[in-house]
Amino acid sequence: MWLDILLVALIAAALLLAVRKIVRDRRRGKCTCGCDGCSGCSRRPE
Amino acid sequence: MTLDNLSVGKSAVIRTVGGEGALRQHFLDMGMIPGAEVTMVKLAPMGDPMELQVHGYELTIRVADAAQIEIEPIEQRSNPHRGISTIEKSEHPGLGEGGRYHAKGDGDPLPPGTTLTFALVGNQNAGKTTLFNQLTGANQHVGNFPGVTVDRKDGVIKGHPETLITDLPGIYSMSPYSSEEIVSRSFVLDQKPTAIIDIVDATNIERNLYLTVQLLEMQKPMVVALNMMDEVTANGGSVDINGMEKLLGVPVVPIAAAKNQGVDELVKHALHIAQYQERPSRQDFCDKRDHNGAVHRCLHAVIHLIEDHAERAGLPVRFAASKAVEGDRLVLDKLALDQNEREMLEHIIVQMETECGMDRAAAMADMRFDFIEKVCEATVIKPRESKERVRSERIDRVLTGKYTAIPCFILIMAAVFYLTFNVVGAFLQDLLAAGIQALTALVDGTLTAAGVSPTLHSLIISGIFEGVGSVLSFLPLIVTLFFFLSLMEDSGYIARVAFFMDKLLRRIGLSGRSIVPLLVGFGCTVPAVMATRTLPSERDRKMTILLTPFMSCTAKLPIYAFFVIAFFPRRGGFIMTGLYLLGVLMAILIAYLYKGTLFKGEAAPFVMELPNYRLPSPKNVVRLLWEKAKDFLQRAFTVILVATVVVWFLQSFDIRMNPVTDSHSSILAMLAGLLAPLFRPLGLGDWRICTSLITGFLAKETVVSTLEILFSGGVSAALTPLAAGCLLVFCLLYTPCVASVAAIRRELGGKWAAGVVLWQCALAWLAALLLRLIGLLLGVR
Repeated sequence: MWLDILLVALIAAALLLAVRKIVRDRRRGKCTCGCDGCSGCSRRPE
Repeated sequence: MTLDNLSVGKSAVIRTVGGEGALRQHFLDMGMIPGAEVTMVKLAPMGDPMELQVHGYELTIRVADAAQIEIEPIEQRSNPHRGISTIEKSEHPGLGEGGRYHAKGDGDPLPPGTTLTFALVGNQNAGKTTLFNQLTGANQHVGNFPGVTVDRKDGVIKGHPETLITDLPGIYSMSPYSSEEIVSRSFVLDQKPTAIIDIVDATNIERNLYLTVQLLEMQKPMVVALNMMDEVTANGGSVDINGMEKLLGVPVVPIAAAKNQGVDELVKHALHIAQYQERPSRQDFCDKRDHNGAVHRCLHAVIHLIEDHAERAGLPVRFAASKAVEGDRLVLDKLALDQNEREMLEHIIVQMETECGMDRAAAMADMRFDFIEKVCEATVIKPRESKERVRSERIDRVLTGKYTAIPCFILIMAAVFYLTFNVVGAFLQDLLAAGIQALTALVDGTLTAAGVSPTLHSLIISGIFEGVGSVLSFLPLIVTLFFFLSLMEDSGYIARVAFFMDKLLRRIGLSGRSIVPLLVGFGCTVPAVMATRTLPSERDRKMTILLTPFMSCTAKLPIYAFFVIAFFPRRGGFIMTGLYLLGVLMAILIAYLYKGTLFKGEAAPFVMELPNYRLPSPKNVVRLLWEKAKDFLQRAFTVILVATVVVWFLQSFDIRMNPVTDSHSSILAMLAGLLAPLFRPLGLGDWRICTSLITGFLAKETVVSTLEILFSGGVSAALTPLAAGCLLVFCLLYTPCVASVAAIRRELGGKWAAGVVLWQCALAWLAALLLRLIGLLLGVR
C-alpha cells in the first residue's frame, strides 16, 4: 500500500513539474529547450 | 541592355535600378547605384545566381533580379578600387583610450554601478556569435552559414559583471525592410544600449562598412572590431588602423574572434567609450564636391528642418534626416512633421534629385559608398586571393559543377540517410530500445513482485514506459542526423546546397535555404521544424514549416510496411514509392496554393555569400548535438509525458471511471466511436481504425501497434484493399504527431499549430475520399 502511495505521489509530482515547465515557458514566451535563445528562437523581442 | 545580359569578364555602368520596396532598397544597400561600375565575374553552375564585382567587392544576385537593372557597357572600368600599397607611420588618434575627448580621469563617466549595455551589430557571417561566445563564455551555436542568429541573445562580458551584451541578428543595412533589420534597428533606437560594438568582416571590408556608416549616424558611443584580420594579413593584406580610426572617428580594433586575438583590447575600448559616453567624432559623410554638393546641401537643410522634431521623438538627428530623405515611413511617422514641413522636405529632396540626377534612395546610398571608397582607398592594403578561397573554388568545381552538383547532392544525402536510418542511428536506436525494454522488464518485475495495484502497474508500464520510452528511442536517430547535418553546415556545404537549389525552389515560392528542413523532414518532422530556424525571412520560415509534414517521416514507414504486407504484397515497392512521391507532389501543390494566398510575394532576396570550406570544429559539433539532445529530452519529459498519461487514462477507464478489461468500453473507444461516422465515407467507419488514428497522433508507429491489438483476427479480414489504400493516404497526410505539433507550436505559436492539425486532417480526408471515389469508379473494391 505504502509503495502505491509513494508511486502515485512520484507520478503526480512529475506531472506537476512537467505542466509547470510547459506553462512557465509559455508565459515567458520561450521555447521549451530552456536556454536564453538557442540557435534561433522564433520569438522575437517585443 | 540589362545586367543579366552582361558577359563574363565585361564591365558596365549602372544606369537605372528597377524593382520596388525591399528588393530595390536591397540593391541600393549593396551598392547597385546608378553611375556605379560593375564587372561580371561568373555565373553559378546552373546559370543562376551570378557573381559581380561592384565597389571593389564581390556580390551575388539572382539573374531575375539582375534583369531589373539597366546598364551601359564600357570597355574598361575607370575606378579600379585599388587600396594603398604601404602603411605610412602616423599618429595614433587614441580614440576610446582617454586623452582624446578628455584628459585621463577628467571625463564625465556614468555613475558607478550603471550597467553598461552593448549591442553587437554586424553583417551576416561576420563572426558576431563567435565574438559573443568569446566575450561572454557562452555556448551559442555558430555556423559556417550566414544567418545562424535569428534572434537576439544576451550575456555578460567575462570579468565585467556590470556589463550586458546583446548579440543581434546579422544585417546589411539599417533599412526597415527585413525583420532582422527592424529587430536590430529598434534595439539600438528604443532599448538605447550604452554603446555599440560593430563587428566588420575585414576580408569584405567595403560592404561591411556600409552598415558602419549608418550606425555612426545613430550618434551612439561605438567601437569598430575589424574581425578576421588574421586571414587578411596571412594573404598579404593589411589595414592602416590609425588612418581608419581618424577617418571614421571611432576606435578601430583589429581582432581574430575565432582565435581570441585582440578581444581583450576590444573590451578595454568598449568599456571606455561606454563609461565615458564617447560618441563618434564624425557623422558628416556627405562631400561638398560630390554632385556639386547636392546631397550635402539637401541633408544639412533637412537636419535643420527636422531638428526639433527629432529631439522630441528621441531620434539622432543625422540618422533621422538621412532616413527622412530616403523616405523611411517609420522614421517619418515618428517625426510627425506638419503639412508645411512635409512640403518643404519634399521640395528639398526633389531639388536634390534634380541636381544629382538620382532618386532619393539611390543618392543616399551613393553618398555612403563614396565615403567608404575614400576610406578604403586611403587605409586598406588589399589582400591577394586566399589559399582557403583557392581550395574552395577547386572543391566547388565538383560539388557545385554544372553536371555534378545535383548527383553529388543526391549521393551525399543518400549516404546521410542511409547511415542515420540504417547503420549508425539505427544501431544506436536498437541499443537504446533494448536498454529501455530491459529497464521496463525490470520495473515490471519489481512492481509485480511488490504487489503494486494493477491500475498503477498499467499506468507505469503500459502508459509512461511504453509511451515515453518509444519516443525516447528516437533520440539516437535525431542526434545522428544532426551530427551529419552539423558536419555539412560547419564545412560550408549547406550554403552551397542553398545556392544551387535556389533556382528550383523559387518557382514554388521558397528560397534555396528551405531545402535543408524539407530534406530533414523525410527523417523526422521535429528536427525539420527546428532546422527552419536558419531561414532568414519569417515568410519563408512559416511556409517551410507548413510544408514539412508532407515529407513522409520514417515513423510512417512501419504503417506503410504493415499495409503493404497485408494487402499489396506484390506491389510493395510501387506503393511505397508512390506514397513518398504523393507527399512531395502534395507539398508542391500546397506551396503553389500558399504562394497565391497566405504567403503572397516572393521569397527573400538571395543575399547569401558562399563561405570558404573549412574543417568542422569538434567543439561546435558537440555543442550542437548536446543542444539538440537536451531539447528532445526536455520535450520527452514534459509534453510527451503528459500526453502519454492522458491517452493511457482514456484507454483504461470507462465513462464512470471504472477500469476496463476490454478497450471497447473505454472512454477512448467512446470518443473514437463519435468520430467513426466522419470516416465512413472513406470506408474506414470502424471505431478501431479511428482509435489507431487517434493514438497515431501520439507517435505514428502506434497506429500499427494499436491495429494489431484491436484487430486480433488480422486487419485484412476487416478492410478491403481500397479502404487500406485510403487509410494509407490518410496516414501519409493527416496531422503530424504530438511531438511535431509541439515543435510547430514552439516555432509558430498555438494558433498555427492548431491550424496545421485541422488543415492536414482536412486535406488527408479529402485526398482519401478522392482515392475512394476514383477506386469505386474504376470498379476497385
